[in-house]
Amino acid sequence: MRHIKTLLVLTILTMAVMSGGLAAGIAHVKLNHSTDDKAPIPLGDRLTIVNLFDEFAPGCPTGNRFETMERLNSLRPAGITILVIFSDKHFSAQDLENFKAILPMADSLDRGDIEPIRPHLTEGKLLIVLDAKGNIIWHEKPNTSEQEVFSELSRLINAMSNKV
Amino acid sequence: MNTILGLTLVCRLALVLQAISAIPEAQLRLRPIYLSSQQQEAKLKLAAPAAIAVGRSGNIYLFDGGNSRIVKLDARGKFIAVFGQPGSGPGAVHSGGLNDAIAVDEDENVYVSDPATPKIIIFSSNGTFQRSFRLPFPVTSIAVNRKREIFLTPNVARPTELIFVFSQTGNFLRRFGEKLIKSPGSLAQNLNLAVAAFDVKDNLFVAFRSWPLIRKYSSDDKLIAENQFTIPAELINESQRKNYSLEFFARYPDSAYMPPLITHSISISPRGAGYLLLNAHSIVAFSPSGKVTKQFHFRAPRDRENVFIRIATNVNKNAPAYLLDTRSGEIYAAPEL
Repeated sequence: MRHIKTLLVLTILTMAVMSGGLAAGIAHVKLNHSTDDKAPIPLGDRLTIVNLFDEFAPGCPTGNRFETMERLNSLRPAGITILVIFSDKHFSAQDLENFKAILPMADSLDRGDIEPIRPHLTEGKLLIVLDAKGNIIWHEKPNTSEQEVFSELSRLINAMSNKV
Repeated sequence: MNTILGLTLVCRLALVLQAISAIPEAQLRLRPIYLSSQQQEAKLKLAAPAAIAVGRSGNIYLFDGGNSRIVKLDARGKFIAVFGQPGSGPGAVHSGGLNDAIAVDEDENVYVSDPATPKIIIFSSNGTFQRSFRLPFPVTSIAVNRKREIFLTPNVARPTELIFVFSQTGNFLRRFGEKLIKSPGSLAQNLNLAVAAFDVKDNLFVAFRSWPLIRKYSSDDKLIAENQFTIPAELINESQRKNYSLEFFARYPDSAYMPPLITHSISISPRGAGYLLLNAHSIVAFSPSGKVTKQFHFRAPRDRENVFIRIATNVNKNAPAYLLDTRSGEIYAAPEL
């Protein structure tokens, strides 16, 4: 019993440390608005849904995450910001311009320095939800399916819409 | 009376035979050009080569996917060079998938579509890395016209155009072409996969992976011909014919139905006629208007163990077509094509 309690405490502590690390990491992510101007992630009035891409996963480069983001974008009520941030280490300014021309949610696409959050990425990506003050209220766990990501986030969006 | 009946039967039989053998058939001989298993040096052994292209000079360029590199051979299959490497950084290419992932332009610059982390990588003909740019989707086929514009057929579930065009410097230029099935779904996504190749006048021929249709687009992206062909009888049985219709696919775009046809590759000759490699062991030829004119039979050296996934021709010069077997890493010339 004592072992279980110790394990539980350790797990909670690990989660807290990870979450703390994640919060610190996301706070230091900067967007490249121009070559000299780096800006923090702009927060929505109520929620900000941020997907960070360091790389497209070699095993699954079929754009499933883009589809999830597009589906969430179609549900989006006022006050919720959606951002897809590509690492400026692996995606050039030209790549971003091409993506904006090709993908349906051009206004939500951006490029930035995501190095502070790199340790928390799984298969080169991470989806995170921030409240109006920049606190993390949800983040993607490893091995979560796209359907689960979409279900949980659409629930969050609905709950937020119903509060108004 | 009997004579009239007999004549009618003969006429009917003739009509049926005409319908069955509407596409003339011919035998094809294959001549080995490059056999990976017989190469002594380790660097000459291929690992699941996924694509082949032939340059104006006749040199052959292989996307040796399993070894994450490009192999350059002369027209007789003599080794010239390798370039590209695994890992990351400029010139890195990744294995993965059996897409028609290589094309060459007039100057024999080499364009590779990296299937794993979707991007286009461009090398000069001597293997010097020139540039790369990212894509938001993997592609099934790459073709380059005389203006060095890069034409890609994407593999995406979302409703979008059939072909995306980029400049040689990597700027997105335009998109065009209608998909076969517009409904979203995994079956629809597979049916919309396509392969593409240019003729010498920059007309673009597109064939769908699992539906017997050849489209021809003019050099200004206009659809100028669309021809449906009859699937060679040996590639489809009666049970497979059931539900094999665009109506069914549009109605059930997520169905687990397995289409009987796989168009692996398309290639155009200097005369503007072209070839489709179907189901790893069958070739059909089509006219410059996209009408199927002939079916070729060939006996592969290893018979059904051969898995031919690519056919490539020199679009500028009359020369044999090449067939690439991905499983054994073998290339054969087909002098009759």
